[in-house]
Order: sequence, then C-alpha cells, then structure tokens
Amino acid sequence: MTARTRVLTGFVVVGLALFFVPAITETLDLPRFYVIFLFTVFFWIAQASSWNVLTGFSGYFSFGQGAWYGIGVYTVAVLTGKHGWSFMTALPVAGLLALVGGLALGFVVFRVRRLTGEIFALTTLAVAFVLASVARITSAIDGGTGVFMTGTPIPEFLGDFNTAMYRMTLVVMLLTVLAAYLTHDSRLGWGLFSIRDDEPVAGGLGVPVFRYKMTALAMNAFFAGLMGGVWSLQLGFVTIDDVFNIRVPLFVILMSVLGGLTHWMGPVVGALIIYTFSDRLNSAGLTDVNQIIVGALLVILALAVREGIYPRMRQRWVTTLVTLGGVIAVLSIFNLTESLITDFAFAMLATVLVLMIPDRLWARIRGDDGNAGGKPIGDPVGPLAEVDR
Amino acid sequence: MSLLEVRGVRKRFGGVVALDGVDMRIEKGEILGLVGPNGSGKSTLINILSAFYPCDEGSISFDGEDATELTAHRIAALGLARTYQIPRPFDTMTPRENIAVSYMFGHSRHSLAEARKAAQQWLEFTGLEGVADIGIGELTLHQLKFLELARSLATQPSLLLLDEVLAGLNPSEINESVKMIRRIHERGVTILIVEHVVRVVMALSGRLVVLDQGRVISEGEPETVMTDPAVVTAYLGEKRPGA
Repeated sequence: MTARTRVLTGFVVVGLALFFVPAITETLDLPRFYVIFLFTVFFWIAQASSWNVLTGFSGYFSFGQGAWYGIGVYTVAVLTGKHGWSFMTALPVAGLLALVGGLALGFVVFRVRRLTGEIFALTTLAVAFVLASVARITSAIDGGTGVFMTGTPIPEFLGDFNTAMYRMTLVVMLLTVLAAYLTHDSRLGWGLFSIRDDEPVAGGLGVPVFRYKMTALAMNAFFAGLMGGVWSLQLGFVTIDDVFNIRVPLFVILMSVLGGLTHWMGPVVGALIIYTFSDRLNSAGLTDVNQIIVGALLVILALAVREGIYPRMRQRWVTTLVTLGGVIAVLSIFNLTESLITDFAFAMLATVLVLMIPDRLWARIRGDDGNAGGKPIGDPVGPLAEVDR
Repeated sequence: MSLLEVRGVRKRFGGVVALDGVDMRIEKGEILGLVGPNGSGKSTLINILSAFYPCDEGSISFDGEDATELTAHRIAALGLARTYQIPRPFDTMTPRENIAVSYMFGHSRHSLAEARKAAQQWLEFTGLEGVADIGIGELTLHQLKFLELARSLATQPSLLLLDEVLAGLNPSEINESVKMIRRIHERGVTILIVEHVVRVVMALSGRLVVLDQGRVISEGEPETVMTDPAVVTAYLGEKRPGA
C-alpha cells in the first residue's frame, strides 16, 4: 500500500467515523455540547489548514484570513438575509467570491517584487480593514446595522440545526484538509516549498512562481470563504465588529505555528489543541485569563519546539499515543472529570508537556540516540539551516 | 545558428553602469570561458541571461527564440540552467529533495514520484549518494557546490552557466570539479564558465570572452586572448610611461 493510499484511506475512515458522531451522541443521550464542540473544532481546522497552504507552504505570511472569512460570512448573510437566496445556492458563491478576492489581491501584490516579507503581511492586513470599511458604509452589504440570518432556512435533509452545522462543517473541513494534503504531496506543494526557501532560485529552476503563489492564495481564500459561509448560520446575527476582528487571523496563526507550518497535519493538530484548551478554560469560568494562558502556552511551545508540535509527535509517536490514551483511560475509568472533553484536554496537555522535553534530555531518559521507535521526520532542519544567508 | 546570442545588452544600477553594450555568442557544444577583473560585469551578465533581473537595453535570443522578456522559469523550460557563486540550496530540504524539485520543473514537467527516482542518478553523478538524505546544514562547501551542479543538471539543460563553481575550493577539489565539468560537457551540455582561476579556464574552455568595465574587450582562442595587450592592461593596469 503506497503512502498516498494509506492517507486517503485514513481520510475515508476518519470522515465516516466523524459522520456518525451526532447519531451516536443522540443514541447514548450525551449532551448536545459534544456536537457543538466538534463542529467548532472543524471550523478552526479548516481556517488554519487553508491559511497554511499559503503561509506554511509558500512562506508568504498572511494576516488576511479575516478578509476571506469575512467575504464568506457576508456573502451568505447578504444573499440569504436580504435577497432571499436559499442557503445552498449562496454557499458556493461565498467560496468563489473569496477566491476572486484572493486572486485580485495576488494579481497586484505578486506582480510587485518588493511586496514580500513584512510588506506582504501588512498588505493582507490592510485588505481586511478596507473590506470592513466598505461593508460598514455600504447599506447594501451591512451599512453599520448588521445582518440578521435567523430567517434563513437550512435544508431539511441535513437534520436539526446542530446536526446540519456539524455535517456542513465536517464536509468543508475534510475538503480543506484533503486539498492541503494533496498540495503537500504534489508538484504544486514542492514548488511552493522551494519558493518558501528561496524564491529567485526556484524561478531559475523552472518553478512558475507567480502562478503557484496565485494558486496557493486562491486556495486559501476559497476554503476560508466557504467555511465562513457555513459559519454565518452559527453567528445568526452578523456584524462588522464580530466578523472583521483580529480573532480569526490571530487564531489561525497561533494554531498553525503551534502545530507546525511545514506539514499539512500541523494546523489540524494545532487547531485541535488550542481550541480545546480555550474551550475548557471558558467552561471552567476562566474566560478572563483564557487568552493569557493560551498566549503563554504558545510562547513556551514556540521556544521549546520551534518546528511545531506535529513533527515531534511523528518522531515520538509511541509516546504520544501512550500518553494520550493513558491519561484519557485513567481519567474516565475513575470518572475524575465531568466531561469527555475535559479528559481529552488533560490528555493533550500531558502529551504536549512530554513532547516539550528537549531532544538531548529525551535521549538521555531513554538511553539511546533519541530517535528509536520513531521514524525519521521528513523535513530535517539542521542548526545551520536557520542561519540567514 | 548560435545557441545563445546577446546583442547590445546594457544594465545600470543607479548611477553605476554594470554592462555597457555587451555582444556575445555561445555556440552549441562549446565551453566558453568568461573572464575579467572584479566588477567587470560577469555576474551581472549571468544574472541577466538567467532572467534574475531584466536588462535595460539590448536583446537575448536562446535557441533561436527571443528570450529578452521571458521570466526565469520560462528560460529554465527552454533549457538554460545556472549555478550560484555562493551556493543557495533549499535549506528545509535534503540534497535528494533539492535535486528532485529541479527535475520536477526545469526543462520538462515530471511528477513527484518520477522525480524521487530520478534524483538518484544525479546524486551518483556528483558523488553525493552518501549525504543524500541529511540536512543541508551538515554539508561541506565542496558538497554544496556539487549539489549546485547536481541541481542545475537535474533540470536537463542544454546550456549551463557556471558562476565561479571553484571559488573557495582546495586544489584537489578543484581538480575533481574540473573532471566533473568535462563529464558534463561530454554529455552534450554547452557550458559558459565564469571563473577567477585563470589556469582552470585556460584548460577547460575552447574560447574566451574577456569583460572589462561592462564591455567585451577581447575574445577568441585562450592563448591569444590572454596575451592581448588590452587584456593585460585590464588585469595589471597601464604600463607607467618610461618604466
């Protein structure tokens, strides 16, 4: 079985398993909260993964996630709320409009050689601000009053509201991660990695740099917009301040950096960890210190595992599985917490802490070269590789 | 018809004229040496030929096609490859992956799976099999220079521009590199070699072009060119009157 068949089989298995979660929670009479928790995780996974296709793969650091997400939210809100479109016809338009926005931005910034690095990052940030202002002063879009989504009917075949949200976010999340995986494992992906490492050299070797950067930005915008469109239903009442704030761009950056930018699974893992922590802190009544704790965690992690937590997980996969499984088993057997999600959060915290042990100390604990029981990771980065040329 | 033809190429950086109307031809199958004192415009010419940056005036044709306005990746697709004076590997990739990326793009399109297999051939050709799967940071300068060669060869070029591949190498490494360049030439690749080590250029190239202050001041057989009074003056300066 080739690596690709294995991963694609994994997608089908995970997808099917997740698909039946709402039915299972209903049968077991578990709280609705599990379904809501999961579809919010799906939302963040899709946002972070789509961002990573541009920034993680091509190295162009984007603060523009809010813009694509916002285009998606507002497209569905305006078309269904103000023009009576059905949700299912408005949704693809949301993705496509975001894609067009991405291409328009790319056409300008990727044409100008100097718009790289921090200038590119600031330009993408500006786009979100401009869009927010345009929406605020245009009464056909928002006009400063917000748009109600409560009257928008959801297709009946999707089930009740939460089940429908769950199914839609699941499909969009799977599509996004699949697209990220297929990109990572293709000419496009390797072309983007070479652009990230040294763009002029990549061009000289025949990588169509302009076209590839446009493709990456278009994919980023499309999936962010599509998920934004789905999310407009969850928001119910859409306002400029809720949609175009710094939350989405900031969180996707945190999640991807924590998970690891170089691998397509990095943002998936990062989104799962950060959202679970922040959700548990909120539900423990620690809303005020939530951001502080998540922020502190990120700083510590960024210092301890610079390449992100996912490459470490692959390296020490036995440890990861044992820690995760062990902590969940102990907590649920002795019924120590009131919710499975809390068990999971503690298990992840324990795993993250174990994975933070530096390589050298880890080798000494195990008494070997630090890599036994783990496959060599795919992206070796020597100490010299980080020195600027 | 020449493989590459440069006509009246000019390039200025701010107030500095780097190339001042350069005319040059590279014939199919030759090794052409490009020499000249520091700052004479050799690297600028290579950068313009590989579309690293555009020229201000003049025209370039490659294999009969006008290549003046082409972007770098299109020129690479036509069959032109180059190396860098200071090696510029993709440093999050292993040597094998560096070579695979070039093979995937370069002169013709190949899939990732094909490229992974094909990389082996260039690793063996340059003797890098032993370090194929380690981090770039662990390679020596000599290995990095050979990786530059392997990577540019993997694009399957018809014309290879070598920008000081020997700089910083010790005498035995230089000899090894010279052999390598001969073997590349034997495979039918036309070569333009920019080099400071005059002994090597004399030994390798069938023809020399000498640049000074952005102009071609002499060209022809290596022995004849190196004794040309204009060349001697450019390298050693004017003879003092009466000395």
